[in-house]
Amino acid sequence: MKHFIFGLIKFAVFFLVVAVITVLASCIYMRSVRFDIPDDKNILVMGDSHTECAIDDTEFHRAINFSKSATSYLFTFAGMKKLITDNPQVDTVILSYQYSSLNEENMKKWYDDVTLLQERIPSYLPFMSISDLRVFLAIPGLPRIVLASAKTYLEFYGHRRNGTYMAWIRDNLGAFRQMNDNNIDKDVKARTPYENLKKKSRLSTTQLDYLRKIINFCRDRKVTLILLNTPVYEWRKFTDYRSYEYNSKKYLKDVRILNYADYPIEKKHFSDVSHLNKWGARGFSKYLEKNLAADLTQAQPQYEKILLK
Amino acid sequence: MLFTTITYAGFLLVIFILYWFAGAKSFRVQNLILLAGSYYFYAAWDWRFLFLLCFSTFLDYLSGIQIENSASSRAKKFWLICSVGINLGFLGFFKYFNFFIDSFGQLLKSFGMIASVPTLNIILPVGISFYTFHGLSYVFDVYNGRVKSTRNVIDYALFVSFFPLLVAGPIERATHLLPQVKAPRTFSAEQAGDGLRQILWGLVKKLVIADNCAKIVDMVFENPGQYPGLDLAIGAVLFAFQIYCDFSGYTDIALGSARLLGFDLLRNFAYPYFSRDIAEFWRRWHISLTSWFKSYLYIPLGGNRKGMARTIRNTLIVFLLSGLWHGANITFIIWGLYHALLFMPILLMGKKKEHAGKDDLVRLTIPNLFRMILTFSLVTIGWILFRADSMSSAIEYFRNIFISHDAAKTIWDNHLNTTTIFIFIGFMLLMEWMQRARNHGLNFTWYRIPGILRYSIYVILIFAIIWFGAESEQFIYFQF
Repeated sequence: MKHFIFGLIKFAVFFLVVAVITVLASCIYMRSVRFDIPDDKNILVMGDSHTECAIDDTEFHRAINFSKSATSYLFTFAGMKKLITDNPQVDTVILSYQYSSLNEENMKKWYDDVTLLQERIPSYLPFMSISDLRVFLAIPGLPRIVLASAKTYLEFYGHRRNGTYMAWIRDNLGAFRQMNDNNIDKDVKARTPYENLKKKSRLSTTQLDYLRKIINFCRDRKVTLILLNTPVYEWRKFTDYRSYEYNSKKYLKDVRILNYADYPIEKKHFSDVSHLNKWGARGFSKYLEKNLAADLTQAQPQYEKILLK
Repeated sequence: MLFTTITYAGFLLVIFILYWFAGAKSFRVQNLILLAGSYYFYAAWDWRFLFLLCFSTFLDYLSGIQIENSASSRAKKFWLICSVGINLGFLGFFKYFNFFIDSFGQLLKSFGMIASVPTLNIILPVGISFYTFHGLSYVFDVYNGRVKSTRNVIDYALFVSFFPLLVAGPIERATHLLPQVKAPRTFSAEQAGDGLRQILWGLVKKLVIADNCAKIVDMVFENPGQYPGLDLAIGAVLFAFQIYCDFSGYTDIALGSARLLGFDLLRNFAYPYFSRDIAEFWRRWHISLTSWFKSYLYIPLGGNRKGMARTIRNTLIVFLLSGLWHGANITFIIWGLYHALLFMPILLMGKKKEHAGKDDLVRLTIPNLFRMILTFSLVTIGWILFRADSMSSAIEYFRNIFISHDAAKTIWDNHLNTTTIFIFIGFMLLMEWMQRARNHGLNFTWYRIPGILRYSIYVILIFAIIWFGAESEQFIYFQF
C-alpha cells in the first residue's frame, strides 16, 4: 500500500508541476503578445450585451467594440488593462452601465454560473491577478477551468501564426453583435413590471468594487471613461431606475455617466426591451459618432436638443 | 452517479479508504462496506428501485439454498422455475410490457380489429437487465451443481450488486465472482496501479471519443435527409466508434474500479474492431453477455451437438434474444437477426472457430486488414439499425446514404473539428493495436517504458480529457 500511495503522490506532484508550468507559460505568452488594434480606433467599447448590441463599430468609426454578453466588470477590467496597455492611442473607454449592472440578483450568475465561467475565465485569465481568481474559489471545477484555458491560448497561437489573431480576440473578448430580430412585443408581454417584482434589488459589491477599479485605472492612465446606458424601451416600467440613480449619485460621482435610456428610437428598432437590433444600433452608433464629444461636455444630451427643435 | 463525474471519483476514494483501512482486518467488514457503498451507489440513481434489487437478490439467494437443499429433482426444478419466472417476469414487465402491448395492438389492427390497448408509463430500473442476468447465472449454476449455494446473504448480495458492475455489467458469473467475494483480498500495488490506468483509459474513450462522436451522430441520425450520403456513412462509422468507446470505456472504468478493490471482473471487450469475421467479433464484443447466452441458452438448447438444423435454430434464437435483450424495439430484433444472417455462412462452412484462441494476437497482413475492414463495415451497417429509433428511420437513413438528395448541412462544421475526432480515434486504435495482447490500452508494463515517459503519457491523456472532453453524456448501455 505504501508503495502505491507513494507512486500516486509522485504522479500527483508530477502532474501538478506540468499543469502549473503549462498554465503559467501560456499565460506569460498571452501577456507578452500585443493585442494591437487599428491606429485610427481611439475609443474602446466594453461591457455586456447592451453595448454589444447597441454600438456598431462600422458606423462609429473611431470606436472598436469589445463587448460580450454576460461579461462582468471583473473580466472587463482584465481585458481593458491589456487593451489600453497595448494601444496607447486609446484615449476613451465607453463602458456599459445599465440599470441592472450593480444589481446583485442579476449579476450573481455572472460570477457563479459554471457554464458561463468556463467560457469567460479562459478568455481573460492571463490578464487577471491572483486576487481576481479568489472571487471564483467557490466555483466547482475551477482547477479544471484554469487547466482548460491553456487550450484557448494554443488556439490563439494558431490564429497568430495564420495572421488571424484579431478573430480570436473578437471571438473571446467580444465584438458588435448584429441582432436581426424584433421581439419587443413578445418581450414586453413576458416581462413583469419592476414594481410588481417581489425581489427588490440589492447592490452587487463585487461589481461595484471592479467598477471602481476600472475608474481608478482609467484615471491613472488618463483615459476618459464614459459609463453608458443604452436605450431602453419603457425604462420606467421595467427597470429599477431609482436604485440606479441612487447608486450613481452615491458611488459614481467622479465619473461621467451618459444615460441614453430615453434616446428616441422607434419600437421596431429594438430587439427586446433593453437591446437594440441592427437597425437601432446603426442609428444609435451614427448618433454617437456625431454627438458623443458634445454630449460629454454638456449637461443635456444632443438628442434632446434635436427633439426640441 | 455517472462514472465520469467528480462525484464518482469522490465516492470511489471514500470506499477505497474505508475498504483498505477501516475494513482491513476482516474481509467480512470489507464486504459490508462494499455492499453499503453499492446500495448507496444504486440509490443515487433511483432509491425506489433499491427495493426491487433487494427483492430480486433475496429471491435468488433463497432459491439457491432451496435448490441445493431439495432432495428431489422436481423440487429443485420448482425452485429454479420460481426464481427464473419471477426474475424474467420483472424484467419483462419493466422492459417489454409496453412493447408487447403495442405490438399486440398493431397486430389486431392489421386484422382490421380496433382495440384500445392500455400502456403504462413505466420507468426502466437502471441495470435491471444486468443484475437479473447475474442472479439467473447463480441459480442456473447452483441447479447444475457448478457452484455451491451461498449461505451468507451479505456475500450473495454483494455478488449481485457490486457497484462497478451493477448498472451496465460486465455480467458476472457466480463461478467467477463469488469465490472472490468469499475469500480475503490482498492489496496489490501493481493491480491497483493498473486499475487506475484502466480507469484513465476508459475515461479517455468515453469523454474524448464517445461523447464527441455523440454530438455528430445525434445530428445526423436526427435529420438524415439534411446531410449528404458520404456524411451519413461517416456518421454511421462515428456511431460504431461511439458505441464501442462508450461501452468499453464504461467497462474499463468498472474493471479498473474493481481492481482497486482487489477484484478481477470478467473481461467484456477484446478489441472487437480487430475481428476478421463476425464469429470472431462476437467473441470479442460484450463477451460477458455472449458467453452468458452460450452457457445458459445455446448449450442447454443442444448447441451444435444435434445436427446442423438444430444448430442453425439455436443460433437464430440466441441472436434474436440477444437483440431483444438490448431493448423493446423492433430495430434491436432486426439487428439481432442481421447478425445471425452474417453468422450463418460461417456456421455452414464450419469456419466458426477459424480465428478462435490460437491467434489472439492478430497480425497486420493485407488479407487480415481486408477482413478487418470488411467485418467492421458489416458491423457498422448493423449499428445503423441499432441506433435508429424505428425501422422507418433506419430505412430512411440507408436510403439517404445511397440516393442523392439536397443536403443543407455537413458534419464537417461542428463544435469540434470532425477531423480532430478521427485523429483521436486513430490514436485509440493505434494504442489498442499495440496492446492487443493485453487487457486494456494503457497496460504498458510489457514494454518497460521509463517512468517519466509513462507519466508524460498519463498527463497528456488527462489534458486531452480536460481540453477535448465533451459534456458527458449518459452511457448508452444504461438504457438496457
